[in-house]
Amino acid sequence: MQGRYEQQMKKGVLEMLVLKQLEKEERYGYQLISRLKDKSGGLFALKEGTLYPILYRLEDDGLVVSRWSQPQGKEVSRKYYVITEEGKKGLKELSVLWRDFSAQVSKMMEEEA
Amino acid sequence: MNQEKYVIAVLKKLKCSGSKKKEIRKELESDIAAALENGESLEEIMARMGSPASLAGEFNDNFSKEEITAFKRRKGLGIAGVIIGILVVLLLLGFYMIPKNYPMGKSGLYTEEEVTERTKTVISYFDEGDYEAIQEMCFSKSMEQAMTEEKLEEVKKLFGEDWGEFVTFGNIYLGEVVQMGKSYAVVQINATYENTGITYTLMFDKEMKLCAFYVK
Repeated sequence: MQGRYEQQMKKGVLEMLVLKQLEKEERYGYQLISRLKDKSGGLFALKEGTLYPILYRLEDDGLVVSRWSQPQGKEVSRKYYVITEEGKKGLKELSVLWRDFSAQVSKMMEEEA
Repeated sequence: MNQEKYVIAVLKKLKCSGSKKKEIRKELESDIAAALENGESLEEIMARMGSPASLAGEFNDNFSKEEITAFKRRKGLGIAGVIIGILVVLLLLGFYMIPKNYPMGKSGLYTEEEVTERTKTVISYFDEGDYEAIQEMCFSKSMEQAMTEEKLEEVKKLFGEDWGEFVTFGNIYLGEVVQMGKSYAVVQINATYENTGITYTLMFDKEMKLCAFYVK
């Protein structure tokens, strides 16, 4: 049961965390998966089945755009995701929301019942 | 399981559009290549990604509502399309099997004179009791076997013990029937005998072989 609740909690912040990883530079799927896992100490070890639908939704909403790289020699083409201006704006709003949200949740959780 | 089989097994279980599947295929192949470059073995990558069913299930759980709805609608339309297709085939088959009547001469295979003459010849053999001659005119072995002296004499007796001599032919109706792609000439002709009147119905194929012989 705990696993299900944990998953639900994580789901709520994934879009924001993915956008954050794209804030400074474009990245492809495998890079995002590795980076989210490393940066979170293994807490956000996403599978492709979770990451890609998030990226597709962000793209549909105009917060990211993508491009396929031109492979050199035996290289495989890679799909890079780039944050848009709208995505940067969205990330700022989400960051503010997260600060308030986490502060309120922490406060409530620390309060004596 | 090799990489290609693994990816295809995932794609088969995805509930999304064909274009999205293509996109996912490219992304998975690209990711696997990147992971291999990063030192992971294919077995490790597949173990990390999970079984094809669980990876596809994860995709399906995370697709947007719009994607899932569009997929269900397309699937529904696909099933409806198959059902409509089957119905159309059945209707066409039914139409193909139903005999269709046309005026004599439409197919160009028969002429009124030829069919009338052939009909009168069969009836004259019947009157004369030359059943072997009728058998030789039959289109198939099974019909030949049905047109034996014994059986034809039995038929004659059904309409009276003594018909008397043939007097004349009366009204004649000619036509063509097309069934299951085959064309037949159909003739109905009245014949008057001294003691009775008989209506014959005969059918001929394009070789003018006898296909049906009815007496009433």
